[in-house]
Amino acid sequence: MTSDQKYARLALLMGMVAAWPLTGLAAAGLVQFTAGDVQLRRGETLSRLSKGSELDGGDVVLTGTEGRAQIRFSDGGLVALYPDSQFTVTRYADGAGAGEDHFVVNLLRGGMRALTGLIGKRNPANYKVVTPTAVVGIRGSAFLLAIDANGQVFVSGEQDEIEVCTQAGCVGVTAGEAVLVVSDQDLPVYTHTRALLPVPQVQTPLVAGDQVDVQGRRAFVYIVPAPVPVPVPPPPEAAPPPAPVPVSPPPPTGTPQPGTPAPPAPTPTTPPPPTRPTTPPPPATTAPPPATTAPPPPTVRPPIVFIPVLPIILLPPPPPPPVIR
Amino acid sequence: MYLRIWSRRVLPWCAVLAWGGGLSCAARADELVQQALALVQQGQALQAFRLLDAQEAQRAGDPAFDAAMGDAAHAAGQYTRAIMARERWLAAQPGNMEAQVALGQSLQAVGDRRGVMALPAPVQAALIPVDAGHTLDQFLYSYDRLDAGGRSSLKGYVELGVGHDSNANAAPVVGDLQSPVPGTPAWALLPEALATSGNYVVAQAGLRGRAVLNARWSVVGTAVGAARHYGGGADRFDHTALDGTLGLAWRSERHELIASGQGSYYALDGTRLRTMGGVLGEWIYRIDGFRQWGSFVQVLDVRYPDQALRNVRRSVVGTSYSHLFRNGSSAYGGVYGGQERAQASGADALGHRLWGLRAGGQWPLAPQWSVFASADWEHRRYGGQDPFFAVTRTDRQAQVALGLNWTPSPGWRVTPQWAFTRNASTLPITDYERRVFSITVRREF
Repeated sequence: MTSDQKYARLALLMGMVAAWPLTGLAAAGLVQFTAGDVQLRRGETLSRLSKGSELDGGDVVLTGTEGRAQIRFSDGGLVALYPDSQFTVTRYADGAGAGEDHFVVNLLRGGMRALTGLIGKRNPANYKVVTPTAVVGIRGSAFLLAIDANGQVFVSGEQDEIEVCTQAGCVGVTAGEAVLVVSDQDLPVYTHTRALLPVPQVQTPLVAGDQVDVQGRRAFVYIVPAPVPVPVPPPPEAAPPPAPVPVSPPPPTGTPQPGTPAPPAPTPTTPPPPTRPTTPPPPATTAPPPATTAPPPPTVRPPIVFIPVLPIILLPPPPPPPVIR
Repeated sequence: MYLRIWSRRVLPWCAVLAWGGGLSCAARADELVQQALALVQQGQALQAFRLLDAQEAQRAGDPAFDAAMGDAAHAAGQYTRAIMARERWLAAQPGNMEAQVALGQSLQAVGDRRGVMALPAPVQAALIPVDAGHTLDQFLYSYDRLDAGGRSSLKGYVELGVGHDSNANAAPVVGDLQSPVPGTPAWALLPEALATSGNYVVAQAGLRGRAVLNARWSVVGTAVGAARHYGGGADRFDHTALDGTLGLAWRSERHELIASGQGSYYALDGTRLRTMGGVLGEWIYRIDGFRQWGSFVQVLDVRYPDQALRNVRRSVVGTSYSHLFRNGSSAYGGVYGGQERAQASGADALGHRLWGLRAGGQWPLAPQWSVFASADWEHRRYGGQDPFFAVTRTDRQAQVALGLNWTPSPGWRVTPQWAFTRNASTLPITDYERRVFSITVRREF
């Protein structure tokens, strides 16, 4: 919260205090709203609590199953009581002058939503909501507190930060957070979920260009020989075009030789099974460029022959024996 | 006698005066409400709130006043005051749907999920779905159920989907490539390395949970399995993935530290292609219920049983910030960096250094609809000159995703999504584009 916001909030609180009805100056709080069955116990006397009633230290407010009440305290603080609650103003002192501030209330059952006033700003240490299992201290300004049927206390922050303490210690609760007090011997447990952004994913293993064969060569790449430039005109009877010579890429483990093709593989190699090994690739429909014939099946790669000349010239190998009869 | 005359002549005038005075007060009161509402419409909500706040002690319980007070306070960001005013409004008019919805909006703004869940179902249906509006789970995940209340919990989901993948094998679009060495023959790709598109069906299921040991310690775990089946010629890219984590979490105040072991299995068309195993450490710092920093360090061994040369050890650290806004929208941003070190000697060209950026968000459009978007960018520079292409590989991969979430009823989610991936690589064979459109139906339990 910026200092401007703090000043704005303080100014707002002071305005709220300034708007306090003159009739309420002598009392700790003024009931500004009731609905349903709401009673006030003052000493031994039990009376119906209605709008405009005043509250003082020691007063107990009891709400019925449908009862609700909202109390505005002289320091500008607000408390909304929910059904089936028992709320006691244990100690209240608005030391706006030289006096000491105290705001100590007790919630024995039910629930309340509170917005702190000037006491919570001036003297946060003296603002306390006491429950059977926990003491809620305030470093902020708005919170919700509920006690369930098992006596467990649920506290959530709605603005700034509050602290919830048991005998085991204190935890801070900020806006949007909540804690559950199971017992006064245990630390309050956070109940809000913590969401995590997943760790960046490893790149998909399917990238075609990343596949390597058993010898570490690019599994899916082979060399298409360019037609050797022949300056002489073709003979009248054109000879059959040379067969393509796929060339396996060199293994990356070797020393890089820029500009120099890798030595020929000693034996035909079998690509690794990045895809279904038992299924041959679709032939002719996806054949390489027209300068070549259909590529060989990926399972067997013919040997390659290089004759290094400057620049490097790739010569076609002799036709395979089975073809020449 | 005089009393009778007085009562006949004076009292009616007094009554008229009193009635007129009352009318005047009521008129002034309505004028106050109208003035406040006008200020709210003019964007001066705080001024309207102050105007009404000065009169709250007197007028609390008047539905018109309380409704205006609730609107002004909510618009001014005074959510707790808005809740109090709207509760009064609702107490006076219990069946008022408008009041219920308004109260639900203010309860959502402070993160009071219990309060929202206590509202009638039709009112909840008119609000941003709690599941979508109060979690960041389109991009983020949590080990806890929303209603766990800090206790042990287990949650799961089953997801079915269909989609179209323009490039199932992340292959370059072109089939023949110029050799990097001038004057030498071109390269060509085998057919199975050409970009293959196909329609697919996907099934996924997951479990996440936390077993609380005590206030600080808990055991957390995740198990996710997914299978994708392509139709037609792309069916050789059918794959199955299994992922699991098991870890120990320690939380204190705003901090939570989690150390987990990770395992992953990836099979392509029934054949194991990759396995991963490692450790993941996470540190979550929750600034408040709406803002959070998350940081991680991960060390992962990535193994390819049939392509051992690709085995790497991946080490990545990163951090992210996520923000849940009061209107139910959310956003995150993150940065990370690390390396993948090749395990085989002399295979440095297959390892790389990487760093990346991530950002995304989700915005509610209507009570049951929200739109989400994400953008990821990753830079990878490989460790040496590629012996085949005689260049050092560098990848710049961008991925964007855009989608809708429809929550027809609690626990159900329908998500149409479009994702585009572009990997600009200095190696022509790893330079690819991929577009995936999918529709998934998810059931959470």
